[in-house]
Amino acid sequence: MNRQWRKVTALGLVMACALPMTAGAATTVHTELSGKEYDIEYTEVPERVVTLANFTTEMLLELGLSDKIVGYGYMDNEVPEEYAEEFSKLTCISEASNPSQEDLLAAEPDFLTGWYSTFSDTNFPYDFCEENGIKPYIPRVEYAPATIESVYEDFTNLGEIFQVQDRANEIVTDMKNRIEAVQTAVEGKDPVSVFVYDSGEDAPFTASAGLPTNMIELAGGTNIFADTEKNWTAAAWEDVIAAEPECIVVMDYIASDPIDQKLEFLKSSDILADVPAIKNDNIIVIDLTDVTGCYRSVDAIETMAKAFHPDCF
Amino acid sequence: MLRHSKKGVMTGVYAALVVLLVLTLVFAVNFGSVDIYYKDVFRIIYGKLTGGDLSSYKSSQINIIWALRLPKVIVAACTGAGLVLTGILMQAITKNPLADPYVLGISSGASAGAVVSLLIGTLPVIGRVPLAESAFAGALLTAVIVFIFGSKNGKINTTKMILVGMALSSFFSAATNIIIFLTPDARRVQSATFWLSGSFAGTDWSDVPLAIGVLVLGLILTLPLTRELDALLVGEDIARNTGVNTVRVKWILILVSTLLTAILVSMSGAIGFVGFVIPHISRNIVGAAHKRLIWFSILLGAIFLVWADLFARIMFSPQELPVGVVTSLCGTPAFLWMLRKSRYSFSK
Repeated sequence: MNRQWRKVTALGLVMACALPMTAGAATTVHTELSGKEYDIEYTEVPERVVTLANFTTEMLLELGLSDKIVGYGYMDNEVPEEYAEEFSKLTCISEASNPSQEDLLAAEPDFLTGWYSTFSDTNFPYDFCEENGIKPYIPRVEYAPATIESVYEDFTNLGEIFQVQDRANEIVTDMKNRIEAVQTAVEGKDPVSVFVYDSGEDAPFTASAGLPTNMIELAGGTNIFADTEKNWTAAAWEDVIAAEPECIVVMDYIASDPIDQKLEFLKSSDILADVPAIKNDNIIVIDLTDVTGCYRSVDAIETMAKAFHPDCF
Repeated sequence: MLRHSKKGVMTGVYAALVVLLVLTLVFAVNFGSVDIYYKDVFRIIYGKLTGGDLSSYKSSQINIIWALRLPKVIVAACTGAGLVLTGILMQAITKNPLADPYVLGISSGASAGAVVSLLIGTLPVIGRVPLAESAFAGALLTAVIVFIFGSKNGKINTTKMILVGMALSSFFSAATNIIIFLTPDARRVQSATFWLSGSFAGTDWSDVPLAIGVLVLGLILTLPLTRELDALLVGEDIARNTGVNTVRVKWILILVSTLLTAILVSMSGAIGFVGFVIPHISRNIVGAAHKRLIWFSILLGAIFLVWADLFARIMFSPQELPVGVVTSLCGTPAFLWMLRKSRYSFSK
């Protein structure tokens, strides 16, 4: 009898030890970095996260992971009100540009995310992360061609990595529903021609391939500069004038010129005076973070749709 | 080639160049990022000049032709001529074929000023810093330092001036780089580097009077001095012996060069290669005598830069290349070919 109990107990103990290993199932993300392909395995839930892009910081806040953030990088915009308090408790490890490798290591992270450029050879390449026990996550939205699906993928991936799948699914479903509502509202309408103005007076800096253009399409518009290979590019005023855009979307972010200055420039420029968007004062302002990929992107799509097709809402 | 040609032949050559320049301007206004039918181009320009009725044309077309392209090609032509003139003057004053308009460091000072405006934007007390004025201030500051350190008792020591110019060039380049480096916004940095390589992207009608004015002023002051320029090139002592007031002549030439460079660079950035290479190509064709050299070169320079700007505007449309990139890319093969083919002599 004793031996049998011992065997059962032993078996039970072995199974009990095996459970944790199967509960935290590993997630693998296939990713490309600086020309090489990697299959990055995330076997443990990260505890010390450094996030060096505004949109990744917000995604983590949206997933309820603020207590895991040990450092964030410079921000493009103010964080939405609902997260302001949580955010104020976090530490900024670099006011402008990227932190040095030393400063990053001083924060003792085990997980790093940010822009694609965060992981470039001059910042924190894959080897550096591996040597220092840091798991990198390069958001799918940083890879061309990026669409809103890439944002869903990022939420899903982060949900898997941090074992917050329910919250991630909630967010993605909510985004999908709201976008579907917008699509239904603008169905059948001719797309409105849109010019995205980031900055620049001699030559405009504008969005081309990538998420901003996809978002504009979802909102019932079309980007006049959609057809280049680059995500963001400098263009020529000639093309803007010739395309006669009906709406201008102006990007607002902290590092740029004040938004009033940009609007003032657009409205007072002689050469742009006859552009339909300016004549009809159809200019809207969107935060840069909204078009780089997080939950707020949905807000931006709704705002744009209402500006492009006011009669549908 | 035309080194020893008679005056009549030269007049014919100048006339041909002027015609070529006009054709170039016409061509450049017709082409750009956007396609516009050539007859419309002429009618729009004619209509604007005569106050005629342009209601049948889309305002976007009118704006593109009249407000964007026409001032751009005029300023490009003046800049080409101006930079070439300055190049010739600097090469004569320094007696050095390697000299160019930027040898006194003026362009580096202008670039530093421009970058302060583009990347820093607002300074304490002064407030918002406009681009062209900031660039000009930088150029002027450099010029003043060069004049103070490069002259003694009112006499210009050319070698010293160049040395000071080179030192300031390094200094302001470093200052420019620090500002660029400390700017967090990659987009602003890109627009700054775009400006630094030279571009006519922001040119409008307000730049035209200044461009034409400074070129005309430069020519008025320099053309009477072509004999003196020839003498200076041979040697200062010889020049003095033949009655040239070298002190006065050098001051006039350096002041003209500095003013031309400062203003042109403030308007469109440091466009390289034009002021350096066109004088050499011209010398190869018409010889080093300054009277014909100047007339020939400035026409050639104007034509060259308008073409370069056209390529810059259409090669990767809708993106515009900095024109300084095109001048170096296209100019270098031509220059190397010329050096190989000719028995080039700098001072004959």
